[in-house]
Formats: sequence, structure tokens, C-alpha cells
Amino acid sequence: MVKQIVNETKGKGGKTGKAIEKKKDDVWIPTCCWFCVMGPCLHRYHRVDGTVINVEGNTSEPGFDEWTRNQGRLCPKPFGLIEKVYNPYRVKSPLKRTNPEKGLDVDPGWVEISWDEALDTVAKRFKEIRAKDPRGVCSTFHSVAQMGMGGTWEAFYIAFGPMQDVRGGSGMRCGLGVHMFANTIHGAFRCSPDTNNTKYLLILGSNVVPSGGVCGNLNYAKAKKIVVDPMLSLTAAKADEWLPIKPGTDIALMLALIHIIIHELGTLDEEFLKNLTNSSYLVGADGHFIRDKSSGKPLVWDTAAGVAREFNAPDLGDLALEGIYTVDDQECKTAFQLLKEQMKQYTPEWATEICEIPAATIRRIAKEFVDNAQIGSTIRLDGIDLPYRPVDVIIGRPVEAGVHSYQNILAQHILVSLVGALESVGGHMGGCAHPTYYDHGIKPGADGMPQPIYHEFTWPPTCWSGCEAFVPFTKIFGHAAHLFWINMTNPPPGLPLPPPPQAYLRFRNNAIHSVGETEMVVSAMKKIPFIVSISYTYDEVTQLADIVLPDYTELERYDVLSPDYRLGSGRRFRGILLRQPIVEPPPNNRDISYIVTELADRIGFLDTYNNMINIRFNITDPYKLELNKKYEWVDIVDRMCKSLTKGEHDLEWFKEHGAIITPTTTEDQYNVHLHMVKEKIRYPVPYMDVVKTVGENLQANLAKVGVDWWSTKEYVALPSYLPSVLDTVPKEYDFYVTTSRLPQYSNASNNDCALHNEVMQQVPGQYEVLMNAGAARERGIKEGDEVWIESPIGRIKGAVGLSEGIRPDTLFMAGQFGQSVTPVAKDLAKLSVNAITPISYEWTDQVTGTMQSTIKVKVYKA
Amino acid sequence: MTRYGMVLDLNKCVACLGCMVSCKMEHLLPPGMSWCRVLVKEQGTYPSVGKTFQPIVCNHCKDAACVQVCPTGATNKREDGIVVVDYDKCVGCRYCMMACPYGARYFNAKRERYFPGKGVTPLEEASDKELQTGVVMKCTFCVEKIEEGLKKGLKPGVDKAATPSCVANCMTKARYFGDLDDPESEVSQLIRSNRGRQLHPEQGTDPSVYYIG
Ligand code: SF4
Ligand code: SF4
Ligand code: SF4
Repeated sequence: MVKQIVNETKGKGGKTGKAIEKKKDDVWIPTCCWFCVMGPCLHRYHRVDGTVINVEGNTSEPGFDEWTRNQGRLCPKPFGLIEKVYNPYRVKSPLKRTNPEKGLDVDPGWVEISWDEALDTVAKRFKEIRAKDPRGVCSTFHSVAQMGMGGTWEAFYIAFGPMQDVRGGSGMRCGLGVHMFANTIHGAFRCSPDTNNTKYLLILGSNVVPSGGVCGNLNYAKAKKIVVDPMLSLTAAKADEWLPIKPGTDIALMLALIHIIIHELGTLDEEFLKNLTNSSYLVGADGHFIRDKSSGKPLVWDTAAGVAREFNAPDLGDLALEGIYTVDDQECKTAFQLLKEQMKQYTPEWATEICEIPAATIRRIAKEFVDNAQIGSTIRLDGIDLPYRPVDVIIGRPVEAGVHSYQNILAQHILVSLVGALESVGGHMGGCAHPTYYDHGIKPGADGMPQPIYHEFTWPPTCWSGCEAFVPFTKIFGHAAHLFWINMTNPPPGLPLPPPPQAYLRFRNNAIHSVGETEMVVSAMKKIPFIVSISYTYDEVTQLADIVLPDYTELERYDVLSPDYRLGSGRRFRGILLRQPIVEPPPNNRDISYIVTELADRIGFLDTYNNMINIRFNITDPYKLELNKKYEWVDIVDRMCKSLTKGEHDLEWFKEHGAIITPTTTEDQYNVHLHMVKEKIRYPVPYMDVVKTVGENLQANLAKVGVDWWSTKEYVALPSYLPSVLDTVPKEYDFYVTTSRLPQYSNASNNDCALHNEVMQQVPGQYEVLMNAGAARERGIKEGDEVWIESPIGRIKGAVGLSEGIRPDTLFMAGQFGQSVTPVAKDLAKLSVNAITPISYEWTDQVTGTMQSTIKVKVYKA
Repeated sequence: MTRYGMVLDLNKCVACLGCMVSCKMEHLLPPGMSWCRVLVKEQGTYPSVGKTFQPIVCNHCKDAACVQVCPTGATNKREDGIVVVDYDKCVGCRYCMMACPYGARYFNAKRERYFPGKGVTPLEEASDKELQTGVVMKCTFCVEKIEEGLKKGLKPGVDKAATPSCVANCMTKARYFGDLDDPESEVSQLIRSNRGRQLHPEQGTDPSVYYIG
């Protein structure tokens, strides 16, 4: 039952005095969207006579406009969902290929088959593979599926057994680096500013203003923003100041800021550093924490007692922040002392030579940052006194992913720590003290800091990306997916890999476009003998598939979500939200949950699959699924509704009301800070002893197995300047290329929406290869000229757009285009730099495992 | 009297273009037509360069040039200040398009389709029922929404269901709507306290759309 909100339709165009035709079916149906990490947002869609024609922010229930992320507002993405429903190029029947030859430009010779034939074919192959080793199947999927918005997909994926994980999110287009640190430092999936309260933001290479979802937009407007970006992005355009930094040199700027704060201003949040970080831990000559001989606990220097004591000894006096001490005849220094010494060299004058931002500007920014942090101030919220530090540093993908990204992320976190802005009101938030759906939470480890998570060294590696052997910290959230594709085509000599994958199961993402070196990924994919694509359209991966299973779009299906993660960061509610069908799906398409239930049943692991559904969706008695019964998704959804509300509300209730929303408390919002103080846990900064230790062990293990081509020298405890990998590219490649997500496209794959594309063409430079007007003049290139963009691995051709808002040595290409097969998207005929972005071990960050995303190219007229 | 008007805060707009998509969906507009637009302009030379985002709609001018030239009375001004086109009276002469100093009007010459050669989508079918061809159209201030809202006792600009789509959906809350003749309305106050500006006041049309920021 859907509430009848409007009974008659509207006449259009301001017709005067005309009788308005009554419509039979005219309803607004509540649902939700979670197409970006800033969601979920509450929406309602307008359906008239069976056609969905509009969407708006849902404010139909009390509190919806106040506490929710979108506050009754809308970003442009949900409109694309309407378009997708009516995309005439949808796949509308299961298909099998008849042409054994595969290629992006080769007709697969699709023939329509029945669902039974399609599912039996897949189940038979998968069953054989699974019986030997489930890793024989590799899989990628869209991030929505990870967020619990993909029906029972995730339960299937886990219950099948460990597939080769080549998750979509971990390719080029994701900031995997930050996920690792968000967990190590904040216990959370990712970290971002306390958007509701922040006042001063230093934004490095991130287009966060328009891309930050509705919530980001509503809140970032209130803060002073300094944007450091080679290009005048939309974010930079809205900033108080734009600093066109030389690409790949953000680390120099951050190190200089740290230098100024420590060595020139000397304004530090000492109390925070001593009590809530490892700044006071004593470090020995070997670069590791000095430990108590019997307990093994790290030591700090108690200035009152004048001796070294265990970090959590009772009645500790004031701790030494700086200084050189002697413990057991061994000279040692506090972690902060080491930071101070290491940062001494990074003067603004040094940085300006590298990053090309004037030293005076760097000094001014450092001062503004410190002043705005209001060190020492507190704020009383709901009777709780909390530290108030309304400043943050945001880093975007070119900074948080790529070679040396670990140094960048560490420097970012040290910057905010110096002023005490970690998890403070207005500061840098992860917001997850306790584990949630996919945040690990903060468990106290033996050294008084959160328990780190990383792979134990595994040799030979069990997966084709080799992550357990080379990038241990990628245990958090997936893999360095690009290494999978490298190893499939050109593995390093002597790397003992498991038997090659026999099948590839793909749900909705596009690995061909989201990684790099497109041709290589395509050739790797072609090596996999059996590809199953769950897809709504004929895209590039589908073009290489053997079997295509067409699924429902987001407006044709159910999901239940209860986002209890990442409080702070602007989300001020808990709740249970329903996504529900607005319109009828095409008759021969099937929901993802139907598809995987049938596969689980036909392959023969319905019991483990049902069990996993109970676990992942937290379905408790009496609503639990019996293990050997096949359930329809709508039945499971009803059980979830009842189980989550302890029997109070069923699916019918949610279909009418859309969601239950309750505002969070101050304790919820600042749960990490309160947790750290209560449990006496310290943030593992500035001294990442754990990373150094893991790196040393990794080096020893790799030496044992004879690997000398993978370096661990970046596993350092303190950040340092390392020249950009781009400096090694021959001089003839004289342009940098940066990319960015466009708000109208990111996460939503809206590039196959014709109306959307038409509208988005309004923003100049989003589609073209954007070049500095002066630089173009020098080369005789005019607006609209066709040019070749050539990197050391290949070239692509496209039209140039000119702008004054970009460095003369930099090109910009948006990240979401370049499709050659996907209907509508391919007609845009726009470029993606991914196609010519080299992917290699050398161009992979040793610690975060992320691939280099900023590259160098040469440009010449076509 | 009531005179509906809009205030657009240039400081807040981030050129997400949500308003454009919103308007196109609200009115099921065909390819090539956008009653609501956002102009993105770059000024200066590197490195002293800025970008501005300016949303534009029909100004629903008090002294509307389009109304004056329309020979059939199809384009007319309602008592509440909204300038509308009665498609049934419009003969498609397009004098109004020439007269409008803001380029806010569009001629719907013939049915255009988003997927040439792939038939008509259900959205386009719905659009065909609402939009005539051979007539001129433009931003209506979502007059039907306002009227329906008023019938239910709602207040345009305050209650979402009585407020133009582009205003109700704007994700930065950069757009405001309300009664310019009511000195206490949010729009009047914003114009007063932020020295609201009209577009091309020299044209003498007295627009009902103001810019602040
Ligand atoms: S994509 Fe837009 S509507 Fe969806 S969750 Fe993000 S901000 Fe909200
Ligand atoms: S929706 Fe709002 S922020 Fe977005 S472009 Fe339109 S006016 Fe600007
Ligand atoms: S007021 Fe209505 S018709 Fe005018 S631009 Fe906004 S949404 Fe479009």
C-alpha cells in the first residue's frame, strides 16, 4: 500500500483554465539512495500511470528534513535512475554468446536463452570449479553491493567460498589508501571532516564540494576553504583561495606545514599529543618503541618521576613530549622528538622549489590552520564537554592513491594531530569506535593503540593479486586490484601464483574502465575461459562475457539498510531505510537476489548461503531463514524489517513510511573521542611503529623466498619526502594529467543516461581534454582541435577544451568516460586517461597498494 | 497583491546542475530544451582566475517584453506575477523569443527523441501528453505545483509541495522562492539584506528573479 499523496496530475506549461485529466495511478513512493559514501539519502519517486516521472527529497515524515543526510534535498544522480529504467538499450533476456572470438569490437553473436538454461550453465561450471577450489572464480562488483544495497549478493559471494577478490572499488577510481588508514587510525571505512562543525578546510586535490553528496554541499559552504589543486576545479572555484600546486608534490606542502607548526609557530595541542597519541612514546636507536623488559609494554618519560614508565602505568605524571633520554643505558628519544628532527629539513623555502607554492603563502596557511584550530578550546554539547578544533585537511584521490600515498596520508593525519583535531568537534572524523557492517572499530591493542589489521605473509600467495605477500595492509577492504590484472598478463618472474581463475563473475562494475591500461585489462580478461556478466546494459565487460544475466535497476527492487556506521562526518541519524520498487521491471529480467539464490541452490550451498544472509543482515529468531529452504527476496526483506524492528513493523509498514529515522546523540557523534579517552587508547600517530615493523618483517620474508624486486623502503614510521615517480618519465612527456570524479557521475554510472549527459555538457571542460589556454597557444592548438595524448604505453585522440583555470603543464580529463561499447556512453566519444595510464608494480604504492593515478603525457595535433 | 519571485545565491551554487535535471524531469522536457540553466564562466588569466556559476530561469518580469509583443494573448501575466504561455493560443510566431532580453524562451518545433531509431520511451510518451509542438515554452515557476499547493493551504517557498522543483531540490539551498510583495517573506528579506540584484536592469523589464552573493 502506497500513500496516495497526489490525486490529480498537473497540467504543464501553465495552461490556463483547462480541465485537468484525472490519472488512475498517481503516487509518490518513498525509497532511498546510497550511490555515494555521503548517503544514504531519503527520496520519493513520482509514478503516474505506471511510469516513474520524477524524484524529490523525501520530507513526508517528521524529522526527514532535519536529521537525514539530504535534508529533503537532492543531488543530480537519482534522476539518472529514472533514465536507466527506460534505457532502450537494456538487456532484456539472458544471453549466451555464439561467437567464441572475444574482443571489444567483436560481435559476440548473442542469442537469447531461458533463465533455466542460463542459470544451469553457470551453476554447472561454478560447481565444478568450486569443488576443486572456490578461488577458481574471480569476481568484481559495484560498491553499492558492498554497502548492503545489492540484495543477497554479498551473502552469496562470501558463502561460495573465497573467490578471487578483484573488487571494483579497489581499482584506480577508489581511494583505497585512505581506507587502510581510516581503519588503522579511526577504526572506520574512511575519514572526513566533521562537516556540520568544521570551519577551515585545506583541500588537496579533491573535488569534494560538488562531489560530496547533498550533505557535503550543505555543510562545506560554511567553512573557509583553501583548495590546492593543479586545476581550478568546481571545488576550487568555490574556495576562498586556489593554489595551483605542481602535480604530485602535495607531500612537500604538507611536510612544510608540519615544519612551520613545529619549528616556527610552536603552537601545538600538547595535551592531546601527550595523552591521545604516541608522541611521548620512547623510541630507541633501532627506530622502534623502547619496551619494558618484563611486560614488553612501550615506555614513556614521566617528567614528574624523572624515569621511563609503562605507557599506561597508574598515576603517570606529566609526560615528556620532546627530549633525549637514557633508559637502561640506551639513548632514546620521544616519538615527537624524532618527528621534530625529521621535519627540520622541510622548510617552506625547500617546499616552494618543489611544489611551486610561495613560501610566504605556505607560512600564512599554516598560521591560519593553527589559529582556526583554537587549540585548548572546548565546546559543551548536550552537557558534554568536547575538544573543539574546527579544522581539517581533505585529500583527494590523486593524493591518497598512487606511489608515496602512504607518506601523504600519514602527513595529513600528523597535521591534524598537531592541533588536536582528530575526532574532535569540527575536526577529522572516522566516527567508528565500535565495529559496524564494515568498519572494524577500535579495539585496544597491546601497545595502547588500536589493533592494526594486516595480512600475515603468505607464500605462495593464495590470490592472483598477490596482496598477502606484497601489500599486507590491503587486508582492510579488498585488494590492490590492478596487481591481479598485471599478474594475469605479465607476472613478475618467479612469482608462484595459484592456478589461474577459471571463471569471472561480474556484478555491475566496469573493471575495464576503472583500472588502467585498458588494453592489458581486456587481454587479461579474455584469458579467463568463462565470464558471467550480471548487467543491465551492453557494456564493455558484457561484451566479453559468455553468459549475460540481466538484472533489475534500483527503481525495480528492494533493499533494507540500517546504516549504523560513520557517525560524525555529517550523518546525524540512525535508522532503518527501505529501497522499494517504484515500477515493474521488464518481464524477463530478474533481481540480483533471485539470480544468486538460484545459483546457490543449483550449485548446492543453499545452507551456507542462507546462514550468511542471517548473519550479514542480522536476522534473528523468529525471523531467521531456515537453512535448506529457498526464499524469495521480498520474503527476506519482510523478515529483515521485522527482525530489525523487533517485530514492530513489517515490509508493508516500511513501504508506506519509507524509513524509521532517529537523531543521533552527541555521544554517538563523538563516540571515537569519548571511547579513546575512556579506554585510554592513543591514536597510532605520529609514529607508525607498526608500519615499520610490518615492513621489516615483510622484507625479511621476501628475502627468504628470494624476492628482490619488491621494495619495502616506504614502510617508515614518519613521513618523508620522496621524489615523485613521475620524475622518472622521459622529458618528452611534458604534461601531467590529473583526473577527478564529476559529481553528476561518480559512483552512479550515469554516463549512459542521455538526458543527464545533455545537461552535464553545460559545465565546460568536463568532457574535453582540458588544457591551459596559454600553453595551447604556444603549441598552436585551438579550442576544439583534435589532439593525440600519448603516454609511454599508448595514445588516445580527443578534442581540446581551453581554460585559464589549469596549470600550463597540466591536462585534466574526467574519470568516468572513455566507453567504447556501452550504449549512449560511447556516443559521448569522450576520453578516459585510464586507457593510457600504465599499471605496474613500480607504479604501485608499497604500503597502501594503490596505483599511480597522475601520469605524464605528450600532446600533439591529430 | 502577490508577486512571486526567486532569489539565487551565487555564493552557494556549486554548479551541480541538479536544478537543470530537476526542471527537465518535472516538466518532461525534450532533448535540447532546458528552462533552467546554469552558466559557468571563467574570468581572468592563469593564475589569477575564477569561475562563476550563475543559474538562470525565466525572470517573470513585471514589465515583460514577451507579454507586450504576443499577438494572441497566449503569453500572459497572471495576477500573481507569473508569466505563462497558453499553448492552445500560441501560434508559434516566436515574436516573444525575439523580444525576451534573456533568451529564456524555447520553441518546441517538433518531437525530438533521446534515442533516435529506438522508439519512444515511456517518459517521452508522458512528455508528449503534456508538451505541444509548434509552440513556445519556458520556465513556468512550476505554476501547477504552486496552484496545487495553494489549494491545500500550503505556502509557496515555504512548503515543499508548493515550491518550484529547482528550488525545492537544490542541494546547496542556493535557491529561494516566495512573495516579493510581502516584505516579511524570506525572499524580500534576502533581497533587502544582501542588496539583491536583477539581471540586466537596464532592459527595464523589472525581473522577479534576484541574485545575491
Ligand atoms: S548519490 Fe546523491 S542522493 Fe544518492 S546518496 Fe549520494 S548524495 Fe544522496
Ligand atoms: S541545484 Fe543549486 S547548487 Fe546545483 S547548480 Fe542548481 S542552483 Fe547551483
Ligand atoms: S521554476 Fe520550475 S519551471 Fe522554472 S526553472 Fe525552476 S523547475 Fe523549471
